[in-house]
Amino acid sequence: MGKFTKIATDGLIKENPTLKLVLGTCPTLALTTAAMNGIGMGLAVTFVLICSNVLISLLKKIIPNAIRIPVFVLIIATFVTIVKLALDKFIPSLYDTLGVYLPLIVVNCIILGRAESFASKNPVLDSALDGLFMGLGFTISITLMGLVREFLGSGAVFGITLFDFSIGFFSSSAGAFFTYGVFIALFNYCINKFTRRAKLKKGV
Amino acid sequence: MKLFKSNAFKCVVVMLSVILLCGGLLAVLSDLLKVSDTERIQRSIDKIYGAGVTEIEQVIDADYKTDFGEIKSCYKLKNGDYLVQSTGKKGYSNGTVTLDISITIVDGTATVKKAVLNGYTSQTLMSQLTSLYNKFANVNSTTVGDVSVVTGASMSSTAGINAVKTAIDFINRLGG
Repeated sequence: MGKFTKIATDGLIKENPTLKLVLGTCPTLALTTAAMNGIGMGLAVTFVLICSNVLISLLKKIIPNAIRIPVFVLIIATFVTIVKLALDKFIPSLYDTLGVYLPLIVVNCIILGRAESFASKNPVLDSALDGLFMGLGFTISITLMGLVREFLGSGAVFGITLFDFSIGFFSSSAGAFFTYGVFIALFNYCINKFTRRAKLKKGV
Repeated sequence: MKLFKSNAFKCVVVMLSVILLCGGLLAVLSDLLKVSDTERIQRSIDKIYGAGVTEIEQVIDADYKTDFGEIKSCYKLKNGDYLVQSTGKKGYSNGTVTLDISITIVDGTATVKKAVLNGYTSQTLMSQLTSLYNKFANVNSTTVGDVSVVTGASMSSTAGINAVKTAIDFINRLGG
C-alpha cells in the first residue's frame, strides 16, 4: 500500500476520528440534529486540521519540545479564529447555528491529537493529506449521523421535509448518544467483517 | 553569552515569534473580514422581516435608560416600523439580555411585531429561549406584563421582558 493511500485509508476508515478513535465527541453529539450542521462543522474542522498540520509540520524543527503544546494550541486557535471570522462574514446563518461549538474547535482532540502524533513528526505534504483525510473522515461521519437524526427526528433531509412524521427522541441528547452508539457498532462490525474476509482470501 | 544559548531563551524567542506571526495574520484578516454595524443591523432586519423586505430609513437618537433597561440603538425602517436594540437588566446573576425588537404603531400605541435575540451580544444558550421570544408578538405597554417567564430560566426571561418593556416605553415616548 502506498504512503498516500495509507494516509487516506487511515483518516477515512482505519483511524476514523469519530467512529474508531471516538474523538471530537462534543460537536458530534450536539450538532448532528441536521445534516447541514454536520457538513458545516466538518468542513470547518477540516480547514483547521489542514492549516494547523501544515504550519506545525513546517515549524516542527524549530519548536522546542518544552513549549510544543502551547505553540500548537496557539496555532490551532489562530486558524479557528480565522474560520470564525470568515463564517460570520460570509455564512452568518451557519455561524449562528454552530454557536459555541465553533470556538470550541480549539480544544477538539482530533486537531491537537493529529498535531502531536502526526504533523510534528512528518513532512508537510503528508501532514496536509493527513489533515484532509482525517477532516473528511470526521465530516462524512457526522454528516451521515446528521442525515439519520434529521430524517428520523423531523422527516427532513438537508432541511427539505420529505415526510410528515417525527420521532422526537432522535432530536434529543439521548437520541444523539443512541445514534452515535449504533453508528460505532455498525462501523466496527463492517470493518471487522471486511478484515476477516480479506484475511481468509489471503489464506492467513 | 550563556543566556543566548540556553533552551529557555530559545523557547521565549520561538514563542514570541509564533505569537507575532499568528497575531499579525489575525490583525490583517480581522480587518478584511470585519462585519460593519450597518451590516449587522440589516441582518437583524432580514431575520425579522425576511431577506430584502425592508431596510433602514433613518437612525433615531436613542439615549434612553431606566432601572430596567437601556436602548442601544433605534432605527426607523422604510416600511414605517421601528427596529429597537434594547437591553433588559435584572437577568440571571445581574446579567442582561439584548433583543432586536420590531415595533409598529397600532392605534397610536407601540406594539411589538417580533423580537429576536441579538446574537452578537448575548450568551450562546440564550438562543434556546425561542419560546420566550415568540410570546412577545403583538404585546404593547399594557399586555407586556402578562408575558409569563420560561420555567428554568425565569431570571433571563425577566431580563428579556424588561428589554421589551423598555423598547415599548421608548417608542411611546417618541410619540410613535
